[in-house]
Amino acid sequence: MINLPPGVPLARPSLGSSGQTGTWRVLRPVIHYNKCTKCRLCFFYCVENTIDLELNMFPKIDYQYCKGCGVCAQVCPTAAIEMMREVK
Amino acid sequence: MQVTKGVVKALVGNHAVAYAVKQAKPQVLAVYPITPQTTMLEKLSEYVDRGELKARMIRVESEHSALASIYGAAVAGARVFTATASQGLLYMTEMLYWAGGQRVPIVAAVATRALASPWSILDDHQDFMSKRDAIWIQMMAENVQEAYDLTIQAFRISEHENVVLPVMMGFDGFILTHTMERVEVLHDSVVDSFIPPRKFNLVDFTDPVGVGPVAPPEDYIRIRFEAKKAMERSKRVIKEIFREYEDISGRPQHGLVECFMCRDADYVVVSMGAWSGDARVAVKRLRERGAKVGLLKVRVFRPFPFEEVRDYLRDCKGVLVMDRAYSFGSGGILVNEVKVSLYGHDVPVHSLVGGLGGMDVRPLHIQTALENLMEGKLEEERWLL
Amino acid sequence: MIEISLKGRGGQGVVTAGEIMAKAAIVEGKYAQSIPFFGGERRGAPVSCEVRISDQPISLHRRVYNPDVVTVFDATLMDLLNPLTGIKEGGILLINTDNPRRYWNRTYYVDATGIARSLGLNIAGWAVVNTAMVGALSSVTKLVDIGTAEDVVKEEFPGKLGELNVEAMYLGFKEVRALD
Repeated sequence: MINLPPGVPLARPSLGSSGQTGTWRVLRPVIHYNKCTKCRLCFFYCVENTIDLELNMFPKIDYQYCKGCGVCAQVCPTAAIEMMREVK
Repeated sequence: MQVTKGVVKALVGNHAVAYAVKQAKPQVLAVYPITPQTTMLEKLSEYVDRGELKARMIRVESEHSALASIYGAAVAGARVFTATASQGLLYMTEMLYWAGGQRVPIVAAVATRALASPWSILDDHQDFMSKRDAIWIQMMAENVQEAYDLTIQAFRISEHENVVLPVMMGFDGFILTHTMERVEVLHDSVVDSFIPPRKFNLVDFTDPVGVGPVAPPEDYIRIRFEAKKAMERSKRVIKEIFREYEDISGRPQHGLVECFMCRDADYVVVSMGAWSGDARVAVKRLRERGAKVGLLKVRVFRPFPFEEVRDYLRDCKGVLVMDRAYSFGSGGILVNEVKVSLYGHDVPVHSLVGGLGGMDVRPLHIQTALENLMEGKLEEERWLL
Repeated sequence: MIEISLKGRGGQGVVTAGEIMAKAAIVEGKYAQSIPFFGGERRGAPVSCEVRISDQPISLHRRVYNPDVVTVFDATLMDLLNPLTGIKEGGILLINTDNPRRYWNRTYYVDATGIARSLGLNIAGWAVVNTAMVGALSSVTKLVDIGTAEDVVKEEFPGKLGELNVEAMYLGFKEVRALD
């Protein structure tokens, strides 16, 4: 193996390399699990991939990275996700 | 009598390049057919089909995809090859810049051909020359033998640890791609030891990285600055590899430029590509009449050999530069590079533009222009219409 | 250096004839080029190919303007193309015809179409006359040995097709005549 010469543009991804996007959030999605049908639409639509989903389990939002865009609340067919004002 | 270290074959240019590619053993190929490159693709497919070349031939729907797919394969560690021409090269252009900027070792052959409009399938250098800023090393062949030789060398240069840049090998469409000539090919074992398997990879799969990342301004300009330095460093590497190839082939490889009778010449014609052979004939005829003329053939266009061109031409009484491509609103592309090389030296540089869209240029045209130059009767720019 | 101009029609094998000549010369240790010319080529359209053969390396890449030998694969092209343009003083015309006329002071002729037909050398109804013409060229010009050309043809067309083509070549070699 040789060492690559300088100037080959490669990025090393690391946790939160552009900051923890959770700090951007103004509205916080909250899942009302009594309405959730585990349809997984929120998981598929989340643009930042912050919804964790294990097989047959309820979805869970990673608030460290959720930036509060609200897509999940929009697509939820049972309106189980409510966008609530962040309280600091 | 030259030492023959290989096997003599009669090959058309496209088949000679395909043969060189087969010997270089790339693992992934993606080539989209376009005149005048198509017969090269056919030959390569034949090699893959018969198992003579153990490579994956990706069937792509365009030149853009051709380069995109081998770009990925090269990043993943494979030796790769593609070939195109003309409109295909234009369509590939977005990916050319990706590959150059990302510093991916790739070899691409360009069977040079005119650009539309008007439509033409015949030869000139407009496609090749328009790619001069894509961060690719660019070399151009004079004959079928040189197209074979440069293709083999291109793989070594591209993968050299001090270079790591894609390489484009240009050779004139039809005039070389479809013309059968005598070619000495090297033995497979000689090529094997000349181009050993690729030693490095851009990515380490045990430690993932992002390829083609977004770069903030301070990183972007620094990465471009490193690309500039890599281009400059590559000059020495290219010359070393040419010399090494000279030893294994027994054929002189000259350097970034070839000087033919130009050392003591008062008037020198500068050219690139197949018509350098016709310029050679013109120079020989004039020498027989006692005129001190010579030929300087540019073999490597990027990085441009400014030092060599300056050293050979600085004491000339006149220089004639032949261009088969034109920068509209500016001038011949090669002539502009030559003028830059001679900045600060008082050498008159004249431009001869011709051969566009396959227009045949004869030694007589070059001879006449040289004679006019010597008589002081040559205009600054002459078009051979 | 000898320059040959080959003129024919798409489908007659003009380009292959040029390549057989060049290849045979190269096998014999000479330098050669075979240069096909392309426009919108298709079956029936006039096609040309040029060949250079030399003892020295060839650096020319221009077209052929003053051929030493003009080879016409189809007599109807004589009126259509004027293939004799630029032919050298003392140059040779070789023409495929069964009805020779004195087009040029050194005219040779051979009925290559007749030879190809007699051997069943047809591709999609067209008589492939190129190998018979190569045989005749070898006989008239002595530029390449007929034996070498035979090896090249066998390599180019393996099997039965190769044998037929070699036969056509020898018939062309024997049947070519000078027009007095």
